[in-house]
Amino acid sequence: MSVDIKEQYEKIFRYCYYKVHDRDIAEDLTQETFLRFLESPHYRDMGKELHYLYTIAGNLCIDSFHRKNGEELSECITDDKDYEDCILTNVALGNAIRRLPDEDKEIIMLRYVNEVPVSVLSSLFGVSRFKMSRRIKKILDTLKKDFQG
Amino acid sequence: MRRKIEKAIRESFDFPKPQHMDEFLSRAEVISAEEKKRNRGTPLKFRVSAAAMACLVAVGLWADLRNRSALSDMDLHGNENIIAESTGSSSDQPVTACGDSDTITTTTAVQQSAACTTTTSLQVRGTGSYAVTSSTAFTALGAAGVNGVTVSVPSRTNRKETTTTSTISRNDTATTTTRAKTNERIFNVKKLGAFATAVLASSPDVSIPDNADYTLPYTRLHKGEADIFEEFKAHSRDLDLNKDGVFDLKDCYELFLYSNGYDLSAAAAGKCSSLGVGSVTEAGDNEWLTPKNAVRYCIVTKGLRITDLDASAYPDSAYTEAVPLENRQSHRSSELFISEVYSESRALMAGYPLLSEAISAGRLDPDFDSSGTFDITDYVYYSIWSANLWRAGTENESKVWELPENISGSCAEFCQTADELTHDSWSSAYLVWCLMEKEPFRSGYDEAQFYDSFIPVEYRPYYSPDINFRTYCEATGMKEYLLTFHADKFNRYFDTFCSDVEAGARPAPDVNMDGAVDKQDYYASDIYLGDILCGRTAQESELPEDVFNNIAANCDYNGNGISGDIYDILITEMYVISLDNDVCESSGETAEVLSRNDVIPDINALDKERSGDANCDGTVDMADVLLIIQSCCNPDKYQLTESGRYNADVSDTGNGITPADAQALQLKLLNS
Repeated sequence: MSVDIKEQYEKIFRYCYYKVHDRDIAEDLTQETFLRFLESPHYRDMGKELHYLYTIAGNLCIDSFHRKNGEELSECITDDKDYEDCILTNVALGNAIRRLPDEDKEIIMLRYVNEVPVSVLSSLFGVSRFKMSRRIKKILDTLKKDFQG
Repeated sequence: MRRKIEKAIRESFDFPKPQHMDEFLSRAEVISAEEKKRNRGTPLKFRVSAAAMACLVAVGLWADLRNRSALSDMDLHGNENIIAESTGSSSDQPVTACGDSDTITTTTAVQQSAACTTTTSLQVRGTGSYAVTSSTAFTALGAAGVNGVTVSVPSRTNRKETTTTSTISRNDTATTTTRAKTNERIFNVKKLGAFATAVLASSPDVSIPDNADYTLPYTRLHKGEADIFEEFKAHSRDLDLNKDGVFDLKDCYELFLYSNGYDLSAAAAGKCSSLGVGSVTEAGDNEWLTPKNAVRYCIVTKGLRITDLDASAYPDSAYTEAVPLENRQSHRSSELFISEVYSESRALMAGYPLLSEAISAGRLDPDFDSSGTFDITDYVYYSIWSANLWRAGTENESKVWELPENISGSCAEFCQTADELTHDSWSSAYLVWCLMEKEPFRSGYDEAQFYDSFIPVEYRPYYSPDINFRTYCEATGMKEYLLTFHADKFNRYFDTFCSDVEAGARPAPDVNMDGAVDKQDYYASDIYLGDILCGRTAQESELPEDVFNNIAANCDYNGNGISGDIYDILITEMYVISLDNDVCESSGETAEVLSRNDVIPDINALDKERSGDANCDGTVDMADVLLIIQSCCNPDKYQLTESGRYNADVSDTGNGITPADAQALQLKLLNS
C-alpha cells in the first residue's frame, strides 16, 4: 500500500483538527506529520503507511496538548464542546455523536469521514479486526437508536 | 438504514479546508523525490561484488578454522585434538619429558592463549604402582596391574603449560598424551562469526551516497568520447602501467612520459610500445590511446582529488636523447603533466570534487555572510558577486548591485582560493553542488521568482542565480524537464534503442497499442508532443485517452525514468520513419520526393539549398527537428529567427514552415 499524499493530506488535517480544534495548529501538525513521514530514515515500505501516518499524527497531537498545557491560560477560555459544535452540523445526529465516548467519536470520525480501513483502525486502537468491527457496529446501533428517537 | 446513518455521519462533520495544502504538496513532491532517490537500493553490481567478497573472506576464515584445534567437551561436534604425545621410561625419558628414576614429568605447551581443557592420558606397559598428577593439583592414584591401562586426568587451566607427573616402576614404559581444546563456543558459532566478520569487512565497500554525485555537464564531453572511454574501460587492466592494481592518473603520467619522450622504466616503455601508444619518435597504432584522453577518462570516471594535483606525487624524468633539443620544454615533467590535468579539468568543468574537498577540510569557507552556516543566502551572494565581477567595466556597470564590503571581501577571498585550487572559473556552479551536500533541494531554487526576496527589485532582472540550479536539476534528474533536449544524447539513445529492438531486448515503439509500428504511431507521438507543448491533458488531447496515457506512462524508450519526454517522442518518430517511409505521405509527398527535395532543394527555382539549421547553431541535428515541431505546435512560444525560418524550410521550399519540414529533416538525418 502506498500513500497518496495529496489524498491523505486533507484527511490527516481533519484528524488533527478533530484532535486539537485549532485550524492553524492542525495545519502545522499535518505538515509536520508528512514531513516526518517523508523524511523518516527508519521507515521503509512495509505496507503500513496509513497506520504510520495516523500514529505520527496522533503522537504529534498529544505532544501539542502537552505544550498547550504548559502555556499560560488566556483570558478567553473556551469550552471544548464548542469546537464540536463547529464540526457537527447535523443537529440530531450531532447530539447523538456528542453523547458518545471520546474514543467512539474518534473511531466514527476516522471510519466514516476519513474512510480509514478497519484493519488500520484496529491496529491504531490495539484491538483485533473483529473486535473493531463489532465496536463500530455497536456505535452505529447506538447512534441509530439516538437518531431515531 | 445503516448506509443512511453512515452517510449522515459523513455529512454531519464539517471540517474547514486546509489553507496551505497546495504549497506544502509542491514541496512534499520534491522531498518525496529526494527521499526516493536517497533510499534507492544499492546498485546490483555493488551488492554482488560485496556478497562475493564476503563469501571469499568467509571461505578463507573457514578454511583457516579447519587448521585450528577443535576439541573439548564443550564442542558438540569437534573431536579432541592431540597437541602433545610423549613416550618413555624412567630411564629413557621422552624428549618432552624429564624426571628422576621413578617419575616422568611431561610438560606440554598449550598453544591456545584462551582457557582450555586438557586431558592427559597415561598408558603404562608393565606392572607396578603409578600416580599421575596434573599441574592443577588434580591427582589420580591407582594400581596398574594390567598392561595397557589408561588413566585419563582431565584438567582445566588457563595456563599455557600443563605438567603431568607420572610415577612408575623403573622399567615401565609410559605414553603420555595431552589433548586440548580451547574453551570457545561450538564450531558452528565460529563459522557464523567468520561469516559475520566477512560481511562486516565488506560492508564499507557498499557505498550509498546521501547526495547525488556530481555529474559533469554532458556538453563538456567531445563528440564520440563515450566510445573512447569504453575503450579505456575495456583495457584498464592493460593500462595499469605501474602495476598498482588500478588505472589512475599515475598511469596517465607514465603514458605522458612515454608519449613526450621522457625517460621511463624499460617495462613501462615496453608496455606502452606494445599497447600502441604514440610518442615523439613514432606514431601510435591506437589513436584513442593518448595521455590527454587517458587524463580525461580518469577525471570523468574517478574524479579529482587535491592529492592528485600534487607535483611531488609524480617523479620527474629527463628527456631521452631521441627528443631534439629545440623541442624540449624548460618545465619539469611533473609540472607539465599537472598543467595538462588542470587544462582538461577546466575543459570538462570537473573541479567540483576539489572544491568540495577543500570546503570539507576547512580550507575554504563559503559562509560569506558570517551567519554561521553555509546556506542559500551565501550562494546568492556569491552568484551576485561573480556576476558583478564579469560585469565590471561593461556598459551594464550601472546595474550592479553592490554587496556589503565584508561579504564582497569573503567572496573575493573564496574565489581566489577556489580558482587557485581548480584552475578554472566555475566556482559559482560548483558552489550549488556544495550547497546541496549540506541541505536538501527546495522547490523554487531553480526558478527566478524565488530570488525576488534576496535581490532588490531594481536589480532583479540583471541577476540569475537560478541558472546554476537549473543545471543541477537537469543533471541530477531532480526536475527532469520534459522538453530539455541534447542532440548528442538523442543520437546515443536512438542507437541504443534500435540495437535493443533489433536484439529483441525491448519492444518496438507501438505507442498507440494497435499491434503495429506504423505511421499511426508517428502521428500519435506527434500529437502528443503538441499536447505537452501546449499543456493539454489526456482529456483535452485529440488522442484517445488510453493512447495518451500509454505514452505518458509506458513509453520511456531512453530509459531516463520519464515516459513521453521529448527523447521518447523523437525516438518513436525516427524509428517509424526508418521502418516506413510512407509516413511522409502525410504531407502529400512520398519519401522519395521528400528526399529529392532535400537533395534538390531548388525545385521551386529558389536560391540555394536550405540547410535545415533551424536554431542557427551551425549544425543540423535533431535539435533543429524539435524546434520546427515546437514552432508548428506552439508558434507563440517557440519562434524561429528569420534565418532559422529560412533554413528550416526544407520541404516544399517557399511554403513556409510545416510539419513536413520536420519530417523531411528527420528523413535526411536518418539517411545521413
